[in-house]
Amino acid sequence: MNVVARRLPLLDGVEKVTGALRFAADIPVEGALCVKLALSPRPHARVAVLDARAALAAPGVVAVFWHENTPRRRYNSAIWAEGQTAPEDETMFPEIVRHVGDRVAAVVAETQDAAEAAAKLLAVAYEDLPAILDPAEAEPIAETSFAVGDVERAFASAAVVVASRVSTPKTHHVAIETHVALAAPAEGGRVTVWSPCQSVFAVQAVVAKALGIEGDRVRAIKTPIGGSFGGKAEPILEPIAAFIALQLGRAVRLVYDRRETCLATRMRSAAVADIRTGLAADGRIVARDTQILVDVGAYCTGGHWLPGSMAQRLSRLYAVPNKRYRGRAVLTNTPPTGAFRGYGTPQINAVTEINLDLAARALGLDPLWLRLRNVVRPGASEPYQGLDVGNARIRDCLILGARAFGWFRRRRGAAQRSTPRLAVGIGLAAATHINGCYPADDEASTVTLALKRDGRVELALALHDLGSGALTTLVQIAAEALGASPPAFDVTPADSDLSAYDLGTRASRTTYVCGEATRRAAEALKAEIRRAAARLMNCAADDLDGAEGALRRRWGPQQSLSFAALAEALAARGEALPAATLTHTASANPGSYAAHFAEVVVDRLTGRVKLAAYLAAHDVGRAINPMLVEGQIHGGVQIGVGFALYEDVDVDPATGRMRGDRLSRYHVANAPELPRIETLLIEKGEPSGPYGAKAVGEIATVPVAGAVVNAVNHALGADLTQLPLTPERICAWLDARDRPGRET
Amino acid sequence: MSALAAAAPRDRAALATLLAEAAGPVAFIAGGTDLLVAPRALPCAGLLVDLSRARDLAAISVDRDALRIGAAATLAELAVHPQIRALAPALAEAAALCGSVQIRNRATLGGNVATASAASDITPALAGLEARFWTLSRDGERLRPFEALIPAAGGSGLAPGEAIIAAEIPLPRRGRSAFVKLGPRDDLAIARLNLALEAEFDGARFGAVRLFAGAIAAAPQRLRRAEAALAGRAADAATLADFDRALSAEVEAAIPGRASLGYKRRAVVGLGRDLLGRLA
Repeated sequence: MNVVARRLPLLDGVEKVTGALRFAADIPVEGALCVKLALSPRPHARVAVLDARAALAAPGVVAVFWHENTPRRRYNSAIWAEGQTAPEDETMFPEIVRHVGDRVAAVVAETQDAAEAAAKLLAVAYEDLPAILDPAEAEPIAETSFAVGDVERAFASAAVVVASRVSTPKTHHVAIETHVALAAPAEGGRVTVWSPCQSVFAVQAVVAKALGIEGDRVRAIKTPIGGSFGGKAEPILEPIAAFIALQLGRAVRLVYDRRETCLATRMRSAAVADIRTGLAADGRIVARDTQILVDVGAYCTGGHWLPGSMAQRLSRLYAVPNKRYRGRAVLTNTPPTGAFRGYGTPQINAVTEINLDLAARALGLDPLWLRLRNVVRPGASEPYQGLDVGNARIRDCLILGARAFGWFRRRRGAAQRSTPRLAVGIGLAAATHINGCYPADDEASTVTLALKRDGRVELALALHDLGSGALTTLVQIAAEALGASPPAFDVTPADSDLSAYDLGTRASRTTYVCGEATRRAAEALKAEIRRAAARLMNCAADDLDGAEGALRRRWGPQQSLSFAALAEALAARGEALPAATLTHTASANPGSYAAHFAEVVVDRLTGRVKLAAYLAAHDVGRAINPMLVEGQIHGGVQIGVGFALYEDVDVDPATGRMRGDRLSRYHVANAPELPRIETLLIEKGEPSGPYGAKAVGEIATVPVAGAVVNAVNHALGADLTQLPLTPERICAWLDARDRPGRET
Repeated sequence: MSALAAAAPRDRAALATLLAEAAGPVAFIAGGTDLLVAPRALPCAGLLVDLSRARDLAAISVDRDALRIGAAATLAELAVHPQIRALAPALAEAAALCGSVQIRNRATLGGNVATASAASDITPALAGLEARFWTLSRDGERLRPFEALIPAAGGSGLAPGEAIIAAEIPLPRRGRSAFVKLGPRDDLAIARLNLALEAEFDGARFGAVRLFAGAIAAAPQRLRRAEAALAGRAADAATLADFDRALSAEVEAAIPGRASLGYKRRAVVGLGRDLLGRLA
């Protein structure tokens, strides 16, 4: 391997750190109109009267849009292709607002200041409607159930049965770049939309649906993205910007501030689960019953898929012979939720991993040993969809991770290292996640690779690098296959007019699916290049080896031909330059696996949790770029620590207002809260992935909450199951234990 | 209405001239860490005076009677200044825990006091150190007691057009001081509770004690019961147990019925022990 497995810096890294890269909000658009949205202060109400006269009379104001003068067409922003069906309950500006922060109106003006000043002049009368803020009182919009074996009989035979109620919060993505969309009318009645999106075809499909126009009237172009984590998977502002641009015949710039991004985009869904696990005396899981209620908020978005997604992830970690699952998604009058790193897996994983540790304690078993006893083996078939889990190296993650972390040594020494005030605890969690959308029928990716006249290579696909380094990774794959060097590549970003259809950056599919498509396209281009060079060099194509952007004869006369010289020679002869376009359709969905290990110190007086040590062991198949893989793990742990200890959007159960609508009140884990994060990569190869690679980005955040909560519970001998584990919750538990009968 | 004018006097004298000549309303800005970020808006009219460019307003000096800290000194400067660390460690520690590195590099002592946040880290430390303030307005320079600028009812006691130009901590300090803070995370967090203490010692016994808590009232709250639990007593287990109980009782009295009471009543004990630990 020449290029794969190398720690290449991000190809766009210098541009990013020098500020040369232009994000969407920084792109100057000549004469663009500015927009300020008015958001609902009520959780559920009819917009009875909207008087826009004062706003329209204000200087610089061009138009005001609300439910009376915008399409009432319903759509679902979670679709990613035209014709895809999903429950349609969202409108650009609803007559009946469904959550605090729902969109009431758009004020369009020549400047942002004018739009903001005029938005304050809107007079809106609301008629309040009953609001459902408690998911337990809400109606399900989707339900998934499945069962295997004889669950009740297995529970009856179990040595212990441990039941837990685990709850996880709604959390924000907190990408540095807030939501933004630019739009401009184009020739032929078309509209061009620029946005930091995860799929240009999703933007095209949702805009077309919301506006009631044909998809080919919408051109979507991806801009560089300042963080997404799933938050920009759904087009939210794009339909509005496109509508205004078409309506007024002018370019439009719509940029949310932090508070608007908190209130009126998407977030992680909240979950409450009742789980029961039955263990045999030897530690085998004999039965498990999982009932999970997912609060998806005010609009369906992709929430109807979540119960099934959770069932899928639940089914590929442990071999459980008898199990029952029921997942329900409900709508409430709280802000809508959507994709967020892990797509339901962090929630369902926290449920099983916290419960499993409490079960291990009940049986007096070491949590590591209990997991080793039950994890799936490579090549196992999972019971929910019957898919092969692939080269599932969860045992390696657990065994090698535990050894590197010093699991037994730390665990034995925890009590000794504790003081009356500071309790030391050690915890771990195992996890799995998917690689793409297979068996969905459009799980495919099309890549074009072409030699250009200057000898450089163009890589074209509908790529959306979310900052993870996907661009660098794919170029490394192409460079490896082609025998070229990574700087010799030019990558065309996703553009719905230019790119072949691709379902976008989601579902941990970029490296595994798009990467394999890239590898195959590069192999095809290499064959084309060798054929062309063989003619020029008067030898057989099989005699030529490619390396570092040139072809060399394997034997005979020392002869080499650079890609640039080849391109020039072909162009001089008027011959077409070598190019290859290839569609790769996935035929498997192996699991990625991980085990995370945490040591915490809990202050029994203040309830503060300090992460003292952390190790993340990941089965990545093969690390195309180990540095970027480690970066993904570090970022995943940062999000997971917030989910475990700090973050909650905190919607008031009485008023529906969100307390965590600004970063002074919503606390993510920053660098000072994090220990050095050790990583251990298990590289045993996934046969269907490019050079054996599989996904890491999403799974990196999945086991964190389980590992951290289990460590806290170990430290205190507690059974805390309500996330996040705030100091208040920890102290409330300690108070209740110290003074039984006085506190609950 | 006339537009907003801005001025950045280079020293105290230029500031005095500016204030004497200003006709309309005058507002002040220093580090801008509150005024430049939402949700607080800048004034739209009158004169906005930037105090951060006045070099002599950032001076820190010590003479026989007082430690004088210019209002434009940044919190980052306070945190590492050798004389503040030696004579008024509670203030240096509070400055070091306020905001983030970036905020501390911009935020000023005077700005923090003028903002008069109930959750300020700086004002409890200043209260514990018996600080008073020099202010300047068109009427000239005035020495103002702590309570005049930071009234118990909350808010700032500054008159319109009056700027803080220095804080003054009387010398000598007979006691040792310390500051501790409880926030929602380790760094870049607004205090949920903080404590500033100055204690004198008489051998192994506590002498006079001054103890203030922040973030449980509109202004730094003097904890007299907790002071009494320490004052004049030996630093032994019985005293510490009384101090723990007194701190919890103080919190119960300060925020009765508040949702955070149950938590803060317990956490203040941990914070109190950390505080005494810093004196040792």
